[in-house]
Formats: sequence, structure tokens, C-alpha cells
Amino acid sequence: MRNKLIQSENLCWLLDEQRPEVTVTPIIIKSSDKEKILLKDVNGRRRDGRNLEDIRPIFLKTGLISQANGSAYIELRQTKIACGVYGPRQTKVASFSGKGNLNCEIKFAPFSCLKRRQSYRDAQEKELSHLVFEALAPSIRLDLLPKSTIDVFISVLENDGTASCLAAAITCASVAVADAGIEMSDQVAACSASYIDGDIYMDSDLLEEQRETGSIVLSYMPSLNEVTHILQSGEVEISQTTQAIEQCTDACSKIYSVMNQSLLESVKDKMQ
Amino acid sequence: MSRLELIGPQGLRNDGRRVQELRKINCKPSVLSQADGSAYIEQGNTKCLAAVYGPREARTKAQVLHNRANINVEISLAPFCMSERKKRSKSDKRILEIASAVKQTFETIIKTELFARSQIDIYLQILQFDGGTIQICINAATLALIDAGIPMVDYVCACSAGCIDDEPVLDLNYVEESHDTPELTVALLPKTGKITLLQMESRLHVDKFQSVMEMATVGCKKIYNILDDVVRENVKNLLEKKK
Amino acid sequence: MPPTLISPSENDYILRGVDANIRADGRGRLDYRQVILETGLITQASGSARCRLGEGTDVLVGVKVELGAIELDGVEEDVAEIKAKRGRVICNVECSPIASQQFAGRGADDFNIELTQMLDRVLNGPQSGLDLEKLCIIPGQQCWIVYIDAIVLDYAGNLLDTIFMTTRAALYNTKVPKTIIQDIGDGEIVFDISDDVEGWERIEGWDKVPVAITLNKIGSRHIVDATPLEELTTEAKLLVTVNKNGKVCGLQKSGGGSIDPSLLNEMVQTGRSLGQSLIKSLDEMVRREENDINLKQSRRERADNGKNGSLYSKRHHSPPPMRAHHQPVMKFNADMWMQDFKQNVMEKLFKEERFKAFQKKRRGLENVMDVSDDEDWQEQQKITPVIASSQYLIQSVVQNEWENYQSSPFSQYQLWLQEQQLLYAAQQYQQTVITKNLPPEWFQYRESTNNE
Repeated sequence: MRNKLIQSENLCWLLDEQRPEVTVTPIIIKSSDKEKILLKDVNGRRRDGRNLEDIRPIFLKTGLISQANGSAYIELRQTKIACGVYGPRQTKVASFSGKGNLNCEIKFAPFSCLKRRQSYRDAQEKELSHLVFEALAPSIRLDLLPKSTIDVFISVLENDGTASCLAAAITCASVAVADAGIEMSDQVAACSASYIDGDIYMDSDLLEEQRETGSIVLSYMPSLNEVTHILQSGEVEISQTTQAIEQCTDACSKIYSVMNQSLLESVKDKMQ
Repeated sequence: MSRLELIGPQGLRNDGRRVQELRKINCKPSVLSQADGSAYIEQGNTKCLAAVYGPREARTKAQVLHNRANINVEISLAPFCMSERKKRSKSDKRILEIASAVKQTFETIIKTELFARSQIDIYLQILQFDGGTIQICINAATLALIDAGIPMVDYVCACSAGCIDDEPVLDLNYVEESHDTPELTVALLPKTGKITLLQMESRLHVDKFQSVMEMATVGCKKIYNILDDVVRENVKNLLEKKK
Repeated sequence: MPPTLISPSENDYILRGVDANIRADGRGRLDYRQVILETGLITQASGSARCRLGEGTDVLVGVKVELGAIELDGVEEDVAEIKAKRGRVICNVECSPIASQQFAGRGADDFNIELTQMLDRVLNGPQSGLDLEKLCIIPGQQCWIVYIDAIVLDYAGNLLDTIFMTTRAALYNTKVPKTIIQDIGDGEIVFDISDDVEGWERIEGWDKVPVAITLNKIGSRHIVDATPLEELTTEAKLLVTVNKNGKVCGLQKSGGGSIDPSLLNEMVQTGRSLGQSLIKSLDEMVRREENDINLKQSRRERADNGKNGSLYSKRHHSPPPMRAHHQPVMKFNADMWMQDFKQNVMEKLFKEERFKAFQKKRRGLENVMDVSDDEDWQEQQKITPVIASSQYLIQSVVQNEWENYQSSPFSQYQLWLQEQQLLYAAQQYQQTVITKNLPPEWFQYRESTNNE
């Protein structure tokens, strides 16, 4: 007890010693300073060592949520998304429909972005949910599931660029639906890209996204060679659009092999 | 209080009309492609579109009336219809009140007993607003209902009249309305002269009431003549097209 | 969205029609319906426009420019810096229940949000082309807010394209009052809004506002400007927004189906070229209308050209009510076909005859060896577009045409038809003759044998 007291006294004394004599207002880094960070070096390598057309390494695993019929988790460096699929189950509303309902909901965790997100669904989340629905719907055989509903819940744990987040969410949701054993015509892989100063940055992260003049998100079914969704914003030359579509489809094919791998692994696990 | 001179020295109002004059009415039935009956009407700067759907099967069971048709009125205002932009929700109290006034007017006029268990929808869209909401809604709905061929007892014509400086004034515009002028809206059946709607929200001396009322009645008859001409012309055109 | 269901046979009808490049109303795959554009209809708005597509879709856009404070609460620092110098654009789309029964009550809410978002996404980015910095009055404090409100008055397909077209025209029509800014020292700035009728300016950059083209994928083809029934047949929709310079300002796919990447590229290309030509004709339209009005005003005539005027003036014929489920179908018309055919033949023959005449002329020339020099012929054609007015040519053409006509499939079909009719008539005649002459018992016998 006495020892401790002495120790703390010592500490106080130490702190007093270290205290500066003058106080200085904190130096705030202005946005103009941020501009100086170069997005690519002379060799055309990006900040994290990727080439312009490279995508980030993907970690994809199925079957993490035990309560869900199907689930998946995806990680692209700073982007982390989990997805759970519930259903198909009976539609609650008693209206008849010959096709199944697909209900997609995307939710950002309050701590996922730079600023705290509210816990209720905001306009952006509603919009993204709709986009995920539009990208997924063509791949799922909803015509085989009359009067039933599939719920896809996506939660974003960490967000590193909204466009890449949307693309990852689509990929993740597609794997989760497959994991739930729901019939699909093909897997949907999605990829995003940013247009910055005449270059196309594939799979851009947050900093790149802040400087972009335009962006594109493309979801694609590689085996069927069909595009399920495309969303582009910003003023872009048509030749660049064409190039971006080509690069995105290529990237999607790469993502597709990762998706297949993870699904195969999950099947192997279940067999054992 | 600096009160705006609503009636000028020559007896002219701020939009150049005399006391007993209506605003210019321009109307046209059958303007929309999807509705069963539709009409466009403008009175001065107030512009309104009306669409009538039905009689058709009632949408929900709660709306089914077993001995007559249910009438449903919905009014929407364009966000840019007033001088200041304002987006109104569909449950705005003022709009709902006007809608219910229109509904009550037409419930007695339309031969609803001919269409038991069905529903007639009247949708009104006000595009530009310069006073006289109820009257333009009723006039537009009358035209649209006639265009839809729904059996009615008679036309319903509505007109407003007010009293400025102890003088009865016909067809108030927005400026006059917003200066606390007592405004009386009358809807009547022109042939029998029966009144179906009478509404006033402010104070008016009982001695003046008679003259204001008479003025509104005359206004209704004038509107009736205009509407009737338009309807007849429209039917004539339709017949010519058939040939 | 008036009809919500489509029968398989109707679906098939549209599908095949699109495949054959003829649609139910006689248009080709990439034909737009007639666009009627009017501006300045709502006097209480700063700018307004109304656009009608064909005889159905009808959209009214009112733009209001109002003073507002620049809001910087809760915005990150670097974004705030840009925002402080800018005005704002707020979009809103409303589907009135008068357009369709589906929009009654709360039925249109979701649809409204979807349309608003699409409009907002294009107009609220750098690609909108609007110069928002010009709308700022005092940086960080006061700015103009541009409210764009679109009301759907009538619905017959292709809503989004119409909304974009109307918005563009309404922005052209918008009058922003001029402001006079004064610095009264101490960093305080006051401004005055001009109340002069002439003291207004257009929104800078209205001409860079993009238009949208919706491409509907039906079968393996794509069409533009779909009618409601065609929209039901559509597997996938692609919205391409294009600006004046032919740059793509946005792509968005919707609808349940998927698109092949090569077809996607093709669709983007089509959208772009169509969009550019659409912008050209729209600009022409609004300019012409304004010139008309200015001309009338300069002549001190009453400008009843929609200004302060009615939405349904006598100038335009209102659409006939289309209560039928179907739009009128353009029937295959033999007369029209024949006319077309004749014209084609005529053109072809004129060309041939002209070539012959040309050759003859050259044969007459000396020093020319090769008579069938095509290059020269092409040039000759450019210089003298019509030389076929000579009596001889026309005569020979008409004669040739008749010969050609007789050997054409159409005439042969006619001949075959006549033959068939004659044959049939002859058979009928024979039968009547035979049955009349035969005794009734024989007839009965024949029937009974048939039954066996």
C-alpha cells in the first residue's frame, strides 16, 4: 500500500518534469495537405502496391452465421461485409405472386464509416438495398419459388469506399444465397472502378473514391456471360466506359473463381 | 394598418375586373388518355386537372357499400402552385377538408344507387393556385364526370362571392381572399336552383348575406352556361369524328 | 404502369414485332414518338415546361428558385469548403393519380422515390453541368436553391426520358433574378435582388444538362420509347444519360433480366447517338418557341403562345381518349406496300436509265477508252442530281416498270390469287351443276358411304 503511494507520487513528479512550458494550439491538417498524397507512383503502382487494373485480395468464407440458412463473409483489405440469407419461406402478406419475393437489406454498422452512422435505415441504405436487389434478382430462379420470400440481410462492418462496398456486398450476397441452397442460374460477381484523371482505377478504396470524377459498378454472371446490373455516374467518354466494362468483366471472372473455391470448401467441410 | 386598395377608384379590382365579373374560364374535357373521364379547367390563374375512374370494383372490402357506389375524392397540389414552394403531404388537413366537401357535394348528385358495390374515383390535381379552390375543384369534377358518362341528376356549378367594403364581389382571387374578405362558396344545381354546398369561414353581416348569395348564384348560372357550351361542343366533335 | 399484367400471346406479338423491326404503332425499334415541348406555362414558377410524348405521356416540370441558407452542419471540413461556395438543386418527382389509378393514395410513393433518386443522381453531381457556384450569393451564408418539381400528368410509357427532357427545357426557361452584392465593410455583405422584369439571367450551364435514353431489351434486341405494354415485355432496361458533348453521364440498369456485355456496349452506343440527336432537336424546339414569343412581343401582339396561357389551348389537339386496352394497330396495307414497291422500282430504274444515258454520252466522246468507269459516274451523279427529266427516260422507265411489275412477286401473287379465285368459281359452278342434275337418292347414298 505504501509502496504504491510512493510510486504514484513518483509518477506525478515524472509527469511534471515532462510537461511543456508553453501550450500550443493543435496543428490541423487541412484538406489541401491531403491532396499531396499521390494515388500512383511513376511506375503506375498504387499506394498499396497494386497496378491500376488489379483488384484487392479477397477473403471469402461461407457459413459463419449458424442461425441463417446461408451466410457468407467477405473481406477486401479494409472492406468487411457479412451477409445472412433466410428462406425461402412463406410470404407473410397474403397476396398471390407467381414468382418468389427477394428482399434485400443492407445496413452499415454505426462504427463502419469515418463518421458514426445512425442505427435506423437512411436514404442511402435504402438506395443501396435496391441496387443489390436489382443485381441479384436476375440470377436467382425466383420463378421456381411461388408464394415465398427470400430475405437477404447484409451488414457492413467496415466501409472502405461505397462503390467497392456495394460490389463486395453483391458478391457476398450471391455466395450466401448459393450457400442457402437456393437455385440460381449463375453466381453474380461484382466489381467497381473509379475514373480518376483519365485513368481507370479498378476496385478503388475510399481515398481514391474521394478524388474520382466518375465511378462504375458492374455485376456480371461469368458462366452465362450476362451483365445483371450496371451503375455508372460522372461524365465519362464512351471509349472509357467500354474499356471499364471490359476490365470489370475480367475482374469479375477472377472474383468468380474465388467464389467457387469458397463454396467448394464449404461443401467439403459439410461432407466431413 | 396599410390596407391594400382592393377596389380602385373606378370600381376596378386589382386584376382589372369589375365587381360583378367572373375571371376568364377556359376548359376542355377529355384531355387524359388513361382516365375514363377527364377535364382541364382554368379560372383566371387557377388551373386544375380532373380525372374520373370508374364506376369500378371497390379496391378494398371496407369501401364496399351495399346499396350504392362509393365516391372517393383525392386532391393533390403541385409543389410549385403557390408563390412559395411548398410540398404538401397527402394528409394535409386543409386539402382533406376540401376533398370531403367535394365528396359530399357529389354523393347526392351522382346516381350512386345505380352502381351498388362499386367505386367512383375523382382525382384532382391543382397545377396553379390563385384562389377559389373549392369552386374550381367542383367545376372540374363536374366536367370530368360528364366526360366519363356517369349518370348525374344535373350539373353542379360552384362559384364564390365575397364582400369588400360593404360591396358584394364575385369570384375572389388569391389577393382578395388573403385580405380577410368574407368569402361565400355556393354550389348549386343550375336547373332547379337547389343549393348543394354552402360554405363560409368568416364573418359577414346578415343584411349583406342576401346580396352576396344572389351574386354567387348568378355566377354559378354563368359558369353553367360556359360548361354546358363546352360539353355540347365536345359531343358534337365526337359525333363528327364517328362519321 | 397502367396495365400490370400481359398475356403470353400479347407478349409474343410484341416480341416478334420487335424482331421484325415493326412495333404495334408502326414505329421502328429506334424511333421516338412525336415530342411536343412547351415552356413557360406556370406563371407562379421561375421556369416551367411541359412535354408530351406522342398522345400519352405528359410531364409538367416547375422550377422554383428560392433564397436559402447554405447548410454546413455536420459536413466534413473538406466537403464544407466546396459546399460553402455553391447553390443547391433539389429534385422531386410526383406521379399524380390523374395519370393512372395505380398512383392513388400511397400507391405512387415507392415509384416517386425511385424516379426522384434517378433524377437526383444525375442532377446533383458534377455531370449535371449546372454551374452551382454561380448560384451562390454570399459564400457560406446565402445561396439560391433550385427546386425542380416534376408532376406526371398522364402515363403512356417511357416516363423517365420525358422527365429528363422536360427538366432540361424547364431549366432553360428558368429566370434567376439578378442580385447586386455590396460589401459594407467589417466583412459584412448585403445583397439586393433586382425586381426589374428584365433583370434576370438563365441558370448557367443549362445546356450541359444531360438527357436520358431508356433502352428496353426485348428478346435479343433493344428498343427506345416503349409503350406500357412494351415495358411489360421488357426483360431489362438500361438508362443511358448523355450530355451535349456526347459524354456518358450515367448508366443504370434496372428490370429483372440480364444483358450480354457486347449487347450492353451496343446499347450504350445507341443511347449515346440517340441522346445527342435528341438534345439537338430539343434545343431547336425551345429556341424556336422563345423566338416566336419574342417576335410577337416585339410586334406588341398578345403573346398567347402558352405564356400566361392555358395548358390545353385550342392550338393543340388533345389526345383522343384511349379507353381500349390496346393501342390502334397499324394493319398491313396492301396499297401502301404497292406504293412503296412502285417507288423503289422507279428509283432503281431511274438510276439504271441514267447510267445508260451517261454511258451513251460517253461513248459519243472521243479519247475515252473505258466506258464503264464507275468513279466518274458517281461524281457525275453528285453534280447533276436529276437529269432524268427528258421525255424519253420517263417513258422507258414507266414501260420498264410495268414489265418489272408483272414479274414481281406481288403481281404474281395477285395473278395466283386471281387464278385461284377462278378455279374456285369453276369448282363451285361444277358442283352446283352436278348436284342439281343428280337425283337426291344418290346424294344420300354418298353421305352414308362417307359415314362408313
